[in-house]
Amino acid sequence: MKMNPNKVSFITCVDNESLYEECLLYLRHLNCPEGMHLEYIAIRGAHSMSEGYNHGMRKSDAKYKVYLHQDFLAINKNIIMDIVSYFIKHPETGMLGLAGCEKLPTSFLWIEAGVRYGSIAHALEPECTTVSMYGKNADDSYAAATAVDGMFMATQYDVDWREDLFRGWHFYDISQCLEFRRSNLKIAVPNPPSPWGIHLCGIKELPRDYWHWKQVCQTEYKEFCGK
Amino acid sequence: MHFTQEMELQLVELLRDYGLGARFLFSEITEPVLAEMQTLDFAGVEIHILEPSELLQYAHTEKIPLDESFDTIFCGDILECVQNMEKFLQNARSHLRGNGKLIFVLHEADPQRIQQAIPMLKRYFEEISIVQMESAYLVKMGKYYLKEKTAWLRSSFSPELRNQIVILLRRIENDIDRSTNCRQLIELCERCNISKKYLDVFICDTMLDPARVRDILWTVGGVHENEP
Repeated sequence: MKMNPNKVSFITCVDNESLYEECLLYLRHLNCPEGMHLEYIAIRGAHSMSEGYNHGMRKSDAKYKVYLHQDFLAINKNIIMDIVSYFIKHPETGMLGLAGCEKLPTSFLWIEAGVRYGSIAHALEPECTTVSMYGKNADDSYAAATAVDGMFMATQYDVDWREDLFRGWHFYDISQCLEFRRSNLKIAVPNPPSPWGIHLCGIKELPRDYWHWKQVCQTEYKEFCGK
Repeated sequence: MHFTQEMELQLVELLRDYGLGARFLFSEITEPVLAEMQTLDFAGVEIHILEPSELLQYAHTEKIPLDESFDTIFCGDILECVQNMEKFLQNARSHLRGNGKLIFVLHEADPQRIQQAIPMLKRYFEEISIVQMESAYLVKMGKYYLKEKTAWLRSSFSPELRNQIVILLRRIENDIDRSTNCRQLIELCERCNISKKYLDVFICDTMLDPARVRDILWTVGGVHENEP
């Protein structure tokens, strides 16, 4: 498929229509650079995040794709321009995330890394929003990362999501980052002075299969541990 | 403490990954782990160790017997002795610096029981991670959770209504159909007797730029002091 360099596709796996409706409302209020076309792809009934994202990826001819959670609100009105202009200037970079780590710790959880980057607002409950500034310096620069959080992953090249390995809802994001690394594509995270989005993550208990997918990730990508 | 050599090595590796900060309080740490901690990888880390007598006091009062604060508190598997976990968490938190971490080990714990404990732990710490070791779990908690702060807000109105307030406030803050959402919020406040004080606290706790949202609502939006 020939990719359209003037198109951005927002791809979301949806199982909660009211959350997605709000997510979409914020996406539709972003500033759209002149000549750029936007499309919004909702994948419903996916068996796993990887499967859903592969389906969305293959449906779209947009060069720039943003894979985001249904509970993510994009609040940087110029986020499309920021992403596309960075990708154009940095063809060696395949992916941009909003929060991530320099090196993956042994746990493969980016949040536990010693050096983290990015900035994000979290709403653990409706009555409380907190901002996590992971980067040391908020200076609008971008940092090179090994892995980013799956709440928001923007790409300029298509790399298959490993639906063969990750048949659930966890560690698909770390896997995709490491697949990009295996394809010799770089990953970057901005360090803006204010967050580009709000993650309405709520408080969720870890599902029973969480540890399984973590183990799968650690086994498949052991060469990236500590790198 | 029942650490095998393999677990000790894994523990040191995990602690190294975590980024411990400058001041570290240990209780129930084995000598090999401590020796490893004092190698070059942890140079500059100021390590405090609780003595057995202090440990005993700690176990009975759930209070760390020091008038100091730390970047990291590591508790070994002392939690077996802690009778009031909630009190312990509150006290431990009061001894942690801003981005402090509380790390403890649970030996031979049932994974399901750990899962069940997460909601309680979440009342005190935002970030919780659990790492499975050989025959134990390493639980790391960081960032103070603000649930106590929002208790007052949660004591009034239904969760659905509170959620609706936040949705409208966020839209207003982010310039999404501002006039429509301002009007809907005002109507909601009138219909449900939501006071300006309540709304003000809500704005303070949920908005990224509370002053701006207040300005919009109190002036442009038409919310007045005498409104309910």
